[in-house]
Amino acid sequence: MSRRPPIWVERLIERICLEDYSEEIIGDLYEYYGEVQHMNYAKRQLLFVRHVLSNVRPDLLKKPTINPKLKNFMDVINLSLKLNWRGFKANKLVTILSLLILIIGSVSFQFVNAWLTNEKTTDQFHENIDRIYLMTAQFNPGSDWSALDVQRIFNLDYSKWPEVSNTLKIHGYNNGEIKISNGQTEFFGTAFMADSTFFDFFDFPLNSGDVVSFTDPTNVFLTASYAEKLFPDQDPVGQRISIQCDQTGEYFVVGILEDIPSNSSLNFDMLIPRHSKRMWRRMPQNLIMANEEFDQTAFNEKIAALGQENQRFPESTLGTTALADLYWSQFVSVPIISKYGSERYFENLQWVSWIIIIITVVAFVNLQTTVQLNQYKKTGLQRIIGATRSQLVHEVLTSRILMAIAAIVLSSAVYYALFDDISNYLDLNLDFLVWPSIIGISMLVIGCGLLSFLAMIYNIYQQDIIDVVTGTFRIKVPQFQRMVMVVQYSFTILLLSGAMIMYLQVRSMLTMDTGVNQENIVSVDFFGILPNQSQDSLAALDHQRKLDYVKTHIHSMPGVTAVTQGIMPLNRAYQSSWKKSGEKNFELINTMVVDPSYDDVFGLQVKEGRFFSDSLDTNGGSALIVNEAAKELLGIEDLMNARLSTNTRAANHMDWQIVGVVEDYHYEHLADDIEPLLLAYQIHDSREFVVQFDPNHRASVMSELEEIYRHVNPAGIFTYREIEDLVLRQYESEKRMVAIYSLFSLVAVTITAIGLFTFTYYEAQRRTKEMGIRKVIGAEFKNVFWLMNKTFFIALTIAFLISVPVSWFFMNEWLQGYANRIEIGAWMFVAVGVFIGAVAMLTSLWSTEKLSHNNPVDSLRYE
Amino acid sequence: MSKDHLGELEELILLVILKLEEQAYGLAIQKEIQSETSRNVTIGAVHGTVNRLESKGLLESAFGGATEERGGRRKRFLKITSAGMDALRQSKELRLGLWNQIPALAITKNDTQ
Repeated sequence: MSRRPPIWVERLIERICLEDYSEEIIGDLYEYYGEVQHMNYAKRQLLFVRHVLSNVRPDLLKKPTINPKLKNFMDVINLSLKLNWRGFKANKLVTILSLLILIIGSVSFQFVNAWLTNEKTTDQFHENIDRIYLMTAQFNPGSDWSALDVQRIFNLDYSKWPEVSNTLKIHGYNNGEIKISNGQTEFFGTAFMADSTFFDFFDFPLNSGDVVSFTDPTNVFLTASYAEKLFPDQDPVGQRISIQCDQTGEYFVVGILEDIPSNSSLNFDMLIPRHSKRMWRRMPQNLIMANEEFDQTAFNEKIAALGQENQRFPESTLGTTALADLYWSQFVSVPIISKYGSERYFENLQWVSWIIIIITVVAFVNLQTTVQLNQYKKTGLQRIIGATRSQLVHEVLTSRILMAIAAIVLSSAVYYALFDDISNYLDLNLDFLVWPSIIGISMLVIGCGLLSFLAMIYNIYQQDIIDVVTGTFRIKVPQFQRMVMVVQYSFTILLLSGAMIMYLQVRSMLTMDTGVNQENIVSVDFFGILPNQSQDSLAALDHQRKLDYVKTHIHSMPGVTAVTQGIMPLNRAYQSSWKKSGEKNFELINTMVVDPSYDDVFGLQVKEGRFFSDSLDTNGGSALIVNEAAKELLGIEDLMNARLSTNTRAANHMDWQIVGVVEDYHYEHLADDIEPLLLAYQIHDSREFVVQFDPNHRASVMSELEEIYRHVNPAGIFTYREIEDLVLRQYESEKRMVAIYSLFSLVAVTITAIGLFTFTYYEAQRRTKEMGIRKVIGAEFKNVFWLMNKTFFIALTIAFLISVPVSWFFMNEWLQGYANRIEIGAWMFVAVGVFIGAVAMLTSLWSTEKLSHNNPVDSLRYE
Repeated sequence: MSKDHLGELEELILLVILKLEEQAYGLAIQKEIQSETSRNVTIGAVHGTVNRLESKGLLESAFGGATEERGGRRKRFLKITSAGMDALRQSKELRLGLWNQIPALAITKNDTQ
């Protein structure tokens, strides 16, 4: 029959529509189908389908049949949700506070946890990281190891060694050393000039492009955010960029790297083929990839003496250090590694994370137990009506699950919202990772939930139903809770006093008189890397001309009070071996090179003899100035007869005359004592200029320095360093620690206060009647207040007594690492104690205040 | 929504059922609405509304004979219950009451527009 509608219509309607209606509907559809036959095909079909589908509507759909078991289960869930909702409404305050504890606790924990994970996984995302070694060399047995271009200096042939499967050289150009232009604007950045083997060594993921194209010397790779900076509204791939450092060049962007992850110790904005230029002036680092059978000790022994074949370095030693270890050991400092880890710092934060865990868990479990104990009547009644213990356990379980879900969702949201601010404040340098964050947060939340679940089950099984009915059940504050309070307060005091002592120490280091001027001094590197003068006399002449220009102009600048050529005094000494002439053993002594105006700029005090002067000394001469520590170490009594000799080859036949002694001053981190120091007048004429200026002329001095710089380096980028920055940077890690400890002790104080608040709040509710009676008999506010808070004052005192010695011990240990340390005074602990006591008192006052002032008539009418 | 309240389509369908007397069934109602109001109501919409009215107790139904053009399916004839009549009356009175409260001037003015 041609007028019969398609069969699927019938099936569909029969399947989904109410039985009563499907026959009628299908009949109507048949009839309708017959009536629209005169229309053209497409229109007819369209209309028909529309009518068919219009039957899919809630009014006409069959009601789904539900498996009775499932329905039962859903009902139980529904019921427990209802019960929990009622429970929440009855205990809104405490539920919100419990959530708050979980949120504050788990978010803080996750910040620390994320950082710890980040540190632990540093560089581990490179598959071959454990096979990568950095070549190092030592020029003299006593000197520091450094990561030089070992291959070129010692003329090594890696291909002769079967255990080396691949090699890589990287020149690291730091921010300020290279300028990148997109055609219109110039930017600073960090660049790696690397061999084409770079991607064999490192697995930095690519957003676009192919690592193979890095072999082409005209191609560069940019990181995603740097590409965004250079080409904000365009596709960076295929764009042309030009670079300017000691070389200039033009390149095409062929690939975009994902942003360098925060757990990478190598950091760069741009990857430039090293083979695109014949040479780069910066010293490159040599990396080798070892094969599977590589034995580092054996290899180090094998190559140790190879360098001595070089005539210039007969005492040199070669070695390797694993790149993966470098991050923690800081064995050598190299420009390609942008950050180093600190094991001490890591351990410190591990402790902090444990304290956060303990305080959160304790506060949460304690709070929940308090609530439960206060609901003893409800649970008792439930059991009288016939609820079994296991049903009560069910109820508790669903409440835990709901609480956990709510806490995880809220905490993750809070963590996400605060992530940038907090990680900036703590200077954590972290990437935001979604799943690890949620997992970290969940771990703590679920742990808390589980423990409170166990505690609550324990309470359910402890409860005696008869006591509830007869009203003889009296909840005393259990011993357990008092102990818990002690634990909580102990850790809080520990953290807070730690934060305070660290803060005081850092402040004292920043404000201490180091014996050196630390203000209004800048240094400018006018010359950078010099041309090799022996090979290029024209360049040498040019340099001399520039040097004269700088010298004449810099001294005549208004506002400049003193100028010296050389280096700023912080952490810039190198070690070399010295002895008094005639004695046998060499001593390693810090040495710095200076010129005669060094003492003017940095305000050194001459104790004996004189400082260098241009009339009496010559640059490169054999005069020395020592500090008091060096004088003592070398046992010098009479300056006139004190001759020193050194073992460096160039100068070992010379006798060095000590011409003066300067008062000890701090030239290193204040964690260290003032070590012996020798000053030599050996300034290379390409050294940076250090300028002391009158702070009132700051702006003009800066602009004139820039002008001189422009004259000497028309193409260069003017940069300068300020001594204040150096000082601050020196104490960066300490400052970061103070920030972390302060933040987390605040967290601890907050969590503890919330715990205490709820505790006293419920105490107050429970003892309303008791206090009413007491007041009728004649008790005053202070009696009532004391009664209410006796428990926690005692707990606080015990906590204080426990934590002070512990804190004193640990902080004393920490301070031992600082040669210049503050004394731990009793007042510090008293201050912490008073602060915590005051917070606790206010908290308790808030919740018991109403009770203590209640009209006894009202409180007695209660119930 | 109160049980007595009638939606617009509900009212329309009830009225059409009254008009069609003995011949009121799904497709007939649909066609009648289309010819009277030129509104294109789908079959599903009609049946959905009818179902709702029936569960409210404003309609009752009885199956008629099967015909060939319906593929052997029966028609279901609809009849208004007394509750349905009440609801219609109420709705009418409500409207009339409101109309009567409007000042004559306002109506004329609006009508002449």
